[in-house]
Amino acid sequence: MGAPALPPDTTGSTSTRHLAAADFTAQDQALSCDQIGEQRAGLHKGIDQANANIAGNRQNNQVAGYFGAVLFAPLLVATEGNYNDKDIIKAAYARLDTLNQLSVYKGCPG
Amino acid sequence: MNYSKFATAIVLAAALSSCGTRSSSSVAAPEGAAAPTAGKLAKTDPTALLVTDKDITDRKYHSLGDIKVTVSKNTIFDSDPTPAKVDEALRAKAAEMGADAVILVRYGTVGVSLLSWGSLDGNGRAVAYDR
Repeated sequence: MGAPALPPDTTGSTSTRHLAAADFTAQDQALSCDQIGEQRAGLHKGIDQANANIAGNRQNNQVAGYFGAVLFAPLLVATEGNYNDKDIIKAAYARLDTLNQLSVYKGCPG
Repeated sequence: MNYSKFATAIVLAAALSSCGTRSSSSVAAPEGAAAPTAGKLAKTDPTALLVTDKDITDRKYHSLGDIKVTVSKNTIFDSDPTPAKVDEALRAKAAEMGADAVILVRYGTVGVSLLSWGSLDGNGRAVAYDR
């Protein structure tokens, strides 16, 4: 899986569109800076866990991929795609983008 | 081959495999920002450059470009590329552009690509502080 795309620039001094309250849901607007930080930490934990799951299958995938490519193509079906973990990572980064923007909008420290 | 030569060969192979990665990078104009000034700024020190997955909230900055890097291992026997290696490549490219920081850094997952048994992508936005 490639790295998720970056969000449009809405926070730099040369950005052509700046953040407004309408960019966030009422629930998100109600979050405090501490709560934003807690949500971020939770998302990072989720990303780390998903990456650990993917890494756990990586050696098997490499072996199956190697022998599948070199010796016996049907072995390629033995590789594990970890699609659920990859979806978790994509969703977590999308939410982190919203939280980063909210953090700037609210003027949270750090 | 005697025992000491064999042992030396094993140690050398292990040493070589632990650092067998290469990287490539590209830069695109950030969506939603005025034309970047990349290339007009003096190079910065890569070791002093901030690399973060967050945005910068305590000072103004302007975007120089969105960097995409790919770190790939050379052979199936090399160790997989890590986020730290991606950070290193992002830092090097951003320093060339005269950036002070790379923000909103994110990583893909290690996987087989057309040219490598293990590649890891990373994206980040190179920014310079307003002065």
